[in-house]
Amino acid sequence: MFALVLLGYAFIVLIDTIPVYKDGTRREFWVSTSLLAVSLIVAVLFSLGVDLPSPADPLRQLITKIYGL
Amino acid sequence: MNQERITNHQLFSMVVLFVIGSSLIVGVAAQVEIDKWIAILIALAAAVPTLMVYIKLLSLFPGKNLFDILFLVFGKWVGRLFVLLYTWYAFHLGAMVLRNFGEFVNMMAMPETPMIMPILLMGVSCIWIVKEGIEVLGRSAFFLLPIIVAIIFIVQLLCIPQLNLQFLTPILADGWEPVLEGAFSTFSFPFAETVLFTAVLCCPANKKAPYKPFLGGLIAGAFIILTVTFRNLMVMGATLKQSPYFPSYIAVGRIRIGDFLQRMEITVSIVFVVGAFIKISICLLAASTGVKKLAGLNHFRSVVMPIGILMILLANGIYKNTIEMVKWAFDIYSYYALPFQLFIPFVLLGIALISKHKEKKANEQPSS
Repeated sequence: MFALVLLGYAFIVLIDTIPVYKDGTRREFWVSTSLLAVSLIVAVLFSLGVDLPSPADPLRQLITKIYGL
Repeated sequence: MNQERITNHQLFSMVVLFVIGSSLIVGVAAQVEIDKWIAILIALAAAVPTLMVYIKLLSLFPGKNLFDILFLVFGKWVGRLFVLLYTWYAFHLGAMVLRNFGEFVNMMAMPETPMIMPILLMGVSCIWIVKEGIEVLGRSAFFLLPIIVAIIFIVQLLCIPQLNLQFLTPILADGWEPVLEGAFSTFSFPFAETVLFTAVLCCPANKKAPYKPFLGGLIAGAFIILTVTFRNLMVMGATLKQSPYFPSYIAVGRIRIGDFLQRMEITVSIVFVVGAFIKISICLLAASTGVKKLAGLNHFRSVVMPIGILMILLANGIYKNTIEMVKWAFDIYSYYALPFQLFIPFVLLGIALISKHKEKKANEQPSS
């Protein structure tokens, strides 16, 4: 699973990040690469079976608090 | 910057597919037992003026989309906050629809396949089409809509032997309260979700505002939802309440004509795949446009891939099970979406109208 994730990301870098590096501006490259790095961290944690907290629960608590449901 | 253009017909198809997208499968107004159709009609009556507000907003600022308007009206910093909120909303909505799709496939068609697989495949297709731009999206919606309508129509005809008119009565047996709750939930999911179209479209200058395709798409989508809901009700009656997940799938599964026309559920899956595809793509497009505006990029294409992958990952981990998903969709989601669909656009339109009025007055005074 872990190896598959890394392989997938290598493919993404090949088809997406390298064209952005060649054609886009520096800013575009850095924004897309940092977003991709965040997603890589999350994907690796998922593949290692780490139970990541979901945003649905805190959001639900926030909403019930705001509207007083 | 070169603007991409879509025709009115394409916009109409996109709105119809967006509206029927996930709601045909997940079902609407789960709070109501047999008066769902009243709830849908009330929600439609509330949604039409809301959509007119969205279009009015776009037509006040030709050539600008929602994010540009937020920056113009609220200034740089407050505008940035609102753009961030809308970007999150688009991103989260896309992930929720993706998760609906994953749950559907996992529960009904392929229970042994890990849920990440359907989510991943759908997500990759959406990333691809969004990278190609809104023109391709509009053309594919225009191409797919007639197929979907034909499928829904044929299945509707095949259902006729199963229909029971008396399942529709008694009308309003539980009073108005659950009906209004259902109307509220139907308003926010799916009708007013079309606010995301304002984030990806802009009115071209010196052209009429797209009232007709936008409102027409909404009404056509609502009509399709209405007929499908009627069908589900008349096929299943009050037992609809006992199988709250994916009612269309179960209703169509009852079609048996002779020995050979059975297992028509696959048609429902086709409709859902196409609807979810368009809906997720619009959400992804809106989220990418928001990130583009926030980070000051030249084009959204460079961030589509990372945002799409984040969306896939969020969809994979957002809920623990189907029960949590349905509870979110019907209990929490309406309140969660209310600021994005109602409060912010109305406040935005109010401030924009006042500032335009002032501008006009200031322009008139020197000449007099």
